[in-house]
This record gives sequence, structure tokens and C-alpha cells, in this order.
Amino acid sequence: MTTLRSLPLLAALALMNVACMSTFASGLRSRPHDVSAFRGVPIDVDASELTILGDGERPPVVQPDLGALGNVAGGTGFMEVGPTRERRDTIFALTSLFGDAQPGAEKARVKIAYGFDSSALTMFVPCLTLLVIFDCPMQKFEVATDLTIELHGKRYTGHGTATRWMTMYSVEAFEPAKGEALGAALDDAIRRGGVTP
Amino acid sequence: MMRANEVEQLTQRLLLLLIASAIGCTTPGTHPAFIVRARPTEAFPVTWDGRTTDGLAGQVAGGVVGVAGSGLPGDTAQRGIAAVQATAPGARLRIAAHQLVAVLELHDKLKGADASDVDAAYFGNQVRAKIKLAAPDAQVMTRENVLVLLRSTGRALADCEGECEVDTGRRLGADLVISGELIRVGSKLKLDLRLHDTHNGQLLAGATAEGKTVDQLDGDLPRAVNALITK
Repeated sequence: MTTLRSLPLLAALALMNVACMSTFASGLRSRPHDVSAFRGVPIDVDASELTILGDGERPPVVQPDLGALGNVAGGTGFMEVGPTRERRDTIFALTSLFGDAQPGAEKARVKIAYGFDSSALTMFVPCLTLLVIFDCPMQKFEVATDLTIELHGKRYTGHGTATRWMTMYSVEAFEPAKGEALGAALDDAIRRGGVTP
Repeated sequence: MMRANEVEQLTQRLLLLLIASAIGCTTPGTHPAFIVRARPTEAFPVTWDGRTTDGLAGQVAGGVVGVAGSGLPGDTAQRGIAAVQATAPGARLRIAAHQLVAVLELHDKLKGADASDVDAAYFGNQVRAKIKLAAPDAQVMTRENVLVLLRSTGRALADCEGECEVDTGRRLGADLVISGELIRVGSKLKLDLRLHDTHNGQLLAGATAEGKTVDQLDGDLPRAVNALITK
């Protein structure tokens, strides 16, 4: 009967984790950012570029279908819409961080590249596999982001990372980690300052 | 009516199933890889990779390919992002838009433990992917296409040794052919790459990736491919 008695606890844990589930935008805003250099700057979505690379520890996901690497902007198929929407959503999240666009303000464009590194081995290290139902971590992964923002002829480049432990109830930890890594890259870019290419 | 112990057994099985499915759902390496490229716009008429509304701003025609190097150090490069940003500002590609590029199977001249550690097919695919990333408007033949086309000509990649890369490239209908060898020189593993123009047989460039370990060799590959295809 032990299992039966633990069911309410498990349900409570699951509910708690679902309630705490965060998003890309919340990851981006998890730390304050000094965006005064970009205050009210709109971002040109079409002129921006988003790259997502596969897990660095594995053969590249892009292989062998190199055609998937082509220009996917503007398409209407499933393969085109998803990535294009992700670029739009990512840039909207950044724009919202910059604040309301000033009328007639010069547009910026961005280039964002994500890389992922995850470890299957750590799935077994933190705790016994059976304990994952009690929210023990299953897997550790790291998101690395390179960000370039071009504004007024200057380029701001930065690099950021975020690490997460993935639990059974937080498989969506991935999105806030991307947001946090982008936030760290933004801070780094602002700290480095803009340079003329 | 089910007895209490039967209900418990059923619950345990359901929990195990839930655990297994959760583990299955979170297996690493499931991130989809893609690039959403920029389009020329009114505010930015030249894209990050040098394209304009009229076509390419540069490449072999002589313009400048404007993919900016981020100048970022270290770990991101190890994850392959450097491959996207490796082309230095002002660099010009040797590969023109829409040219057909064939990357031949790399000759694995490694022996013993080295031979078992290094997968030549993987490095070949890496070269193809990095060329496609650096020159997205070029047509890069997949390994499968190269194999099928070569078989249709009655030859296998193993038949081609040394100087016949250009001939093989011509048989494939490629404009440019990239060949290479995996070798050990002293304490280092090396991947020696060559780029030939199949129309005149000219050697356009050569570059070498190297490292004391397979990881270092893998990490140095983006730089070598970049050196091979830019001038």
C-alpha cells in the first residue's frame, strides 16, 4: 500500500512543478539586464538570423539531409513554419526587454546561435533511476548562445551559457535555459560594447 | 472487484511506464537543428551572409561576404557554432553561388588504435556540413549521392587514389571537388584537405586540421574548412 499512499504526494509534486514551469521569456528575464543602449529599439525580424545546432556530443542532427540547412525563412511547410516562428518569438521576447519602440527609431538586427550539450551519464548519477518520480534530476544539459546585435552600424557580440538539471516533471526546462543563456549573452554584449565591423 | 494488492501492482506498473516514457522523452540529442536565414530588408539591404535582393553581394564575383566573426573564444567553438561564424569579415569564398561541390570519402591512412578511434565518414560529413553552413548557396552533394553516382559509373571511392580526385569530380558532374586524407604525423592526427576545380584541374587550395587527440582534430576542423574555402 506504500505506493498508493505516496500517490497524493506525487500528484502534489507534479502539480507544483507544472505550476512552476517557466518559459523562454521568463528565463530571459530571470536576471535584470541593463538595456539602456537598446532602449526603445525595434528589431527587424526578417533581417535577423537564428541558428540552432544539435548536441555537440553527437553526430550533427543536420546530417545527412543537408537540404534542411537551406533558407527556411518565408516557407509555409511544417519544417519552415516552426523555425520561423521560433525566430519571431525569440525576437519578440528581446524586443519586449528593450521596451516600447520609439516612433521612427532606427531598427536593429540580431544573429543568435544556440548550441546544446547534454550528458546522459549524469542521468544515473544524481540519484537512483527509480527516484526520478520524486523529482530527482535525470539529466544535465547546457545551452551556449552567441548573440550579435547590429545597431547604428555597430556590432555588439556576446556569449552566454545556462545549465539546467532536467527532472521528470520539468522536461520543458529547455526553453527557460535558452532564455537565460540569451540573457547572459546580451549582458556580455552590452559589457563589451559595440564595434564598427 | 480488484483487490487492494492488485490495484497496487497496477499502480506500480503505471509508474514504471511513466518513468520509462519520461526518460525516453528527455534523451539527449533530440534538439532539432536548423538555421532561419535573414532576408534583405529596407533597413538592412545586405544580409548577414552578404546576400542582397539582387542576389549575392560577393563570393567569386569579387564582392565581400559579410558573415561576421563573433570573435568569441573557447567553448562555443567546441560546440560547432564557430562553423557558422568562422568566415572572417571581408573574406571571399572560393565557392560561387550554386556551384556543385562534391566531398569525396576521406582516405583513412591511420593504423592501429588511431584507425579505430577516428571515423572517416563522420569527418567527411562534418566537412560537408561546414561547407554548407559557410556557403549556403552552394550545392553540396551528400555522401549518399556521391556513392550512388560513383556506383553508376562503375567505380567505387576506394578505386580512386591520389591524383584522380579531379577525374572523380568530373564523373560526378561537380564543379569543385574536395578530397582529403586522415594521417598521423609525429604526435598529431592530421586531416589534410584539398580543393580542386574540376573544369581545369587546378588545385585551388589546401588546408590541414590537426590535433593531438581526436577531439582536438574535430575542434580544429571548422578553421581548416574555412581556410580551404576562403581567400
